[in-house]
Amino acid sequence: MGALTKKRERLEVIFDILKIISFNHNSIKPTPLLRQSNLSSSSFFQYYDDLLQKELVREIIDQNGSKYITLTDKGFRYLEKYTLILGFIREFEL
Amino acid sequence: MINQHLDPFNFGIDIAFTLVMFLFFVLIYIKTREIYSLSKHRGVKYFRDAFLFFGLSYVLRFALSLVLLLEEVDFSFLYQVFFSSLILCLGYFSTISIFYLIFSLCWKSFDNRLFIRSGHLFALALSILSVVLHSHLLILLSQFVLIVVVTIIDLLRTTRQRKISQTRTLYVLVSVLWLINLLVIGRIRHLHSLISTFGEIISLLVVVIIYMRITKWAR
Repeated sequence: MGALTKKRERLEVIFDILKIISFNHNSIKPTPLLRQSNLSSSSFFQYYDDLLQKELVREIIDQNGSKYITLTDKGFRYLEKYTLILGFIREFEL
Repeated sequence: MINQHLDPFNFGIDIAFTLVMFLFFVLIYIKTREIYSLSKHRGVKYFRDAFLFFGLSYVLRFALSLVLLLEEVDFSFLYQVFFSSLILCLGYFSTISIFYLIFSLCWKSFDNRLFIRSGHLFALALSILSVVLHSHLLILLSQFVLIVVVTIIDLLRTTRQRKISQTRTLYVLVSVLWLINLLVIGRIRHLHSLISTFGEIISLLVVVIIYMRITKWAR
């Protein structure tokens, strides 16, 4: 049961991170995102790498060389479908 | 030569049943594609793969049923290769589909990779042995034992938690009905058509129920 709770939290953490990006006009620097995510820096960067790998977010470098994080279309779909994903996982006890 | 017990009407029902079951299993796989694509949730992966393999198993079951309807066994090399390949694939896909259903429920509780590898090895070993014995009955028996053991373990767990799951009941039904459908093939199907048709209707009902529950979440 502990492992089940942990996995559901993982999806929730991803949702929270994506929501923060979305609320910041879909453009936020890594440091403020880390601050707002309420995660330790090691956990945050693990999730961050995961999000990049799953193409839920992407990095944009502006003309000043500053890095910003934005949602991809897939990231937006994740936010939209999050409740349905959780419901499905719960319904089929996955 | 085709067996004299072949009834065209029952044969037609068997084809229709196989096609509809395959269609629903594939629809389940397709409908859950986005959920998996977005979440990359392992339980969802195993769930999808289980139903895809069940769909393939039903097609192979029908192919085996056709072969068993032959009046005389053909000992030609080509026939032997075809029959053996059929048994091998049927044994592997059907056993691994049951394992994937089990994985989808308990992947968090076990060392994943070891458990999954063991499942694949068991399915492969069972298939090879069935080819050697030239019979699908070993597949049937082994899967029956697997389902009984897993169901008993799960029942003991849920009794302690005082919780009976509708979803797990559906999973057990899908697996048990698969076994029944695998048993009543070939000549047996045509000799006991009423029982076979009843089993097929229940199987369809269960798969449709699962599909309808999925469509609630997978829009």
